[in-house]
Amino acid sequence: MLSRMLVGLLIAGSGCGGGPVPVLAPERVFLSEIEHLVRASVAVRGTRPSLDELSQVEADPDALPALVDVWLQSPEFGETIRDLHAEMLLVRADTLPQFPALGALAGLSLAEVHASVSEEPLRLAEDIVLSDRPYTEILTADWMWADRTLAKIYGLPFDPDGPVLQLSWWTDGRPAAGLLSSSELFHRHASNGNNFHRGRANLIASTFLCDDISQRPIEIVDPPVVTEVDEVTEAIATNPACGGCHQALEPIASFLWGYKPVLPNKVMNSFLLGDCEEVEFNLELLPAGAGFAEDVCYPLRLYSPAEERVWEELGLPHPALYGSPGERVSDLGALIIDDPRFAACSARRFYAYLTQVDPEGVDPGLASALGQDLVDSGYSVRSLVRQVVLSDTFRTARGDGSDPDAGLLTVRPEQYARTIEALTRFRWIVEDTVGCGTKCWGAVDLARSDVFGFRALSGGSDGIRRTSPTHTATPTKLLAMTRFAAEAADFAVLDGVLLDGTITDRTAVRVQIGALRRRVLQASDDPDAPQVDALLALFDDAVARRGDPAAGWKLVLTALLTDPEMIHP
Amino acid sequence: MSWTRRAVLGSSLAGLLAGVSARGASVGKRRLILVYADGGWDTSYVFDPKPGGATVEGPEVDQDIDNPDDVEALRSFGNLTVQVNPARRPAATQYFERWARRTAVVNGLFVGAIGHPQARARVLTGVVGTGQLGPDLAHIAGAAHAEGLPIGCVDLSGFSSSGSLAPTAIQLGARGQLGALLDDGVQIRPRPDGSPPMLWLPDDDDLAALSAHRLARTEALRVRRGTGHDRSGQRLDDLVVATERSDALRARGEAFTELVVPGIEPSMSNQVDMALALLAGDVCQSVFMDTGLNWDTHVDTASQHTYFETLFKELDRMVGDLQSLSMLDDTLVVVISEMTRTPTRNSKGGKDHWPHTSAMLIGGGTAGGQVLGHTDAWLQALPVDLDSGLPDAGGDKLTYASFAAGVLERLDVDPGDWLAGVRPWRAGCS
Repeated sequence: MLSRMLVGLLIAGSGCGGGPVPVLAPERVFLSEIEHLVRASVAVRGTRPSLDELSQVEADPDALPALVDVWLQSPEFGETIRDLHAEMLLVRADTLPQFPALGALAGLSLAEVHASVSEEPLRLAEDIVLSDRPYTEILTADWMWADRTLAKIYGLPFDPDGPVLQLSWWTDGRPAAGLLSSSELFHRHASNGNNFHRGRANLIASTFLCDDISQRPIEIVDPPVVTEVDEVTEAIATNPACGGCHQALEPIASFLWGYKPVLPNKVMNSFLLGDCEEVEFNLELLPAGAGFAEDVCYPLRLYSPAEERVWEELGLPHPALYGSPGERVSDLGALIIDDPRFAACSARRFYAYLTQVDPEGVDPGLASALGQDLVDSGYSVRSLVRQVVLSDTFRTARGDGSDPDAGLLTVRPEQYARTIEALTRFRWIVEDTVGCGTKCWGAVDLARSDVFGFRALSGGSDGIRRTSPTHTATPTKLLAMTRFAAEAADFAVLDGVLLDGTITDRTAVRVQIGALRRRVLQASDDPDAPQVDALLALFDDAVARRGDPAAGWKLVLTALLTDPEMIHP
Repeated sequence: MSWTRRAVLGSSLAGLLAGVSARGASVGKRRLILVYADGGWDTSYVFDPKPGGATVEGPEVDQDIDNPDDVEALRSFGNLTVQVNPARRPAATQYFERWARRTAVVNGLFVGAIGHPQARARVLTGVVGTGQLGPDLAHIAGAAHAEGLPIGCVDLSGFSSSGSLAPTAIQLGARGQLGALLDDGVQIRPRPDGSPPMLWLPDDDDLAALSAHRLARTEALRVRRGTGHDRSGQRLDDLVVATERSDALRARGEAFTELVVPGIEPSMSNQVDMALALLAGDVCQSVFMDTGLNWDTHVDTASQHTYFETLFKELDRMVGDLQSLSMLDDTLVVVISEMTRTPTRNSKGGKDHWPHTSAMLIGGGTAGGQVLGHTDAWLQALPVDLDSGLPDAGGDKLTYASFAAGVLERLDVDPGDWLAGVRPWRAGCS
């Protein structure tokens, strides 16, 4: 369907003048069923297919759609949804200061704190998509998922004897608005103080409606000399150059005044170290609405219904979304959903993530059509994802030039980590516990961290400086992948996972290499295939140099885990 | 744009195949160090003085009347006039005393955006964008002249954008993680308490074998899929280039890895050391670094004094070292921030975002000792003659795109390949 649409768009854009111009376009070639199985599995789950799934498609080339339906209900798909929303909301920024592991959080590692708070909005999105609820609920939901740490940070309802993750809700009087009720979203994007929530407003418009208001042209003529808030407010309202952005931004920002300012970590630290017994602020230095113990001591209160109408006191515009008025942040969620751009923007983001293209570069006609499909499906993201991964664009091996979105993908760092773990049970964990006092990170996943790890170096987003991923091979990605693969191979051989590292018999070596190729790359397990010869040469070379068959198997497995077909499914 | 990209990748590859120890055809091509001040500096503190305070509340607002040395003043270094304060920003004075003749200050650079990512994208790449950006100036210049070098551009800051040139570039990592990847002696993964250290890591022979195997497999995949110049073909081209460059980097990386401390966020001082080592060691053609400071002073504008002091102290050292290494003539240093601050202070004593900025061009190709471009009483860019930099009511406003095109031209890169139709800023070329 996607390819047909692109052809239509190309025809529509080709003009009517003159006769047909013969063009010798290369022929589009599609992936084999097995290759399509692999690409779809990595995109949907972040892991490669199991041997059983491989056998199913070998037996029935039409088995993939049914497998995709199963995958779309798996926890691994939930992880993919979290990854996608992390990239969208930029909340997995571990190089930023974390909430202090003091007071009620004493004894916790910063990794635990970071994981709890950063995954909070992502778990809501995961829940809505995995349970196939309408995607509109990401802006209306009146629940969220909390773990013990998050419950302590925000004082959320939580049964200490219950499961690790529990359904919970905000108790500070904030309206129910799904992600717009997320503390972490507004903790990470701390656009307050003199910015008056404008940065947050732009984040909301650009994320959910694909309207980056701050890209609008600015040309200020005879700028007013403004210092006080009311002067700024008047300038924004009356100066046409300011109005281009601000007349759209300000009314959205006015929905957000219930969110209290987030104070710097060093302030929290100093109060928490003093057990929060005497909290005295220099109010002159604080943003409006700040200056209470609950701003700096757990449980934090990030929302105050009493502050919702501060915009009124400041003479700012009434809350509205592009002219449609509302009152509270729940109204903002409803208005966004009603905006036709929401469906198209959501579809654009899912399509872009799965096909690894820039969301801004997705053809508007395609985004609009996919958005309509999303609406028609009752906002089923599972249906949308199924549609994309089974499309001709997605299963293209070689493009014909008509579809720039088609062709090889590049494994993301999160996908690679899940793939390695699924194959070898190895997780790339480092322990940061010695000599760091209350600033210990504890167990850090090197594949998913930028404090200690290699996520951005492997093409991922760090959520702060690298805000979009790199979808191709780079020297640092290859260096990091090779190191990761080598450690996984070391682990797998030592622990006897996936292979027997003592095998030296020539025939048995060939058979095991064949089996590894099938398991790791979903390739033929023919022990006499030429590809086996190449890996056998690697094995022999390593054994000859190191005098140890285990070294040979580690090198073979490292080669398979860094194979071009692993890097580019 | 794709033809340009392939040409760039291809020429680099040819140079690599000729051997990494000789710079080959890129010898003599101007290097670039791009120094980025993240957050938006206040140009009135040094570059674009607006004395009198009628429209702009500059650094004079911070003067301590009890300190006789705390005096804001204009000072001319030849034809280059800037704002100085011997008590608060002595390093700036010292810098211009030593290097004014090699430095051109560029004022009145119109950015046209006040969001950090939007403005950053414009001044660094010359184009509008926020998503998956195209390559910035450092990456374009690096890739264009990387023949014979392991790497085109090294990003020490994390702020850069490699775009389609990512296979030619590397990044240090927020805490110097690259050091751990290039030095096998750095233990990334301690075993659980009490267990022996890792038994196996690939040695140089293993790594060479792995790369050779990957390259052979890449070509096999290319043949099997029949890929050409489509996206699949580009990915495989990139994989070949990235593999060869990562190998070359491992062979030459010791030129700077001893300066990298994994686990530590590099300060500007650390980055200066690494930048010099990288360029002097012929590891790369360009370096992207930042000041290690957050200039986004919405609350306390007076912090800009300290930030400028740090900036000029390190610039003074860096330019001095470039001179000592006889590299200043063939290295262009570009210092830039994504925007300046509003003319007046807000109720918290800070300043907000203003869609104009200034820059400094230092060293190779720069006719120093002058201030180019100009602004009105509110720090807004005014039209200039793009060839002379002099005020010209009938001229053009110096935009981020023209500035970027001008920098590329100074680096022997045809700006039309990346910024089609943009008229380059040619003022201040030596």
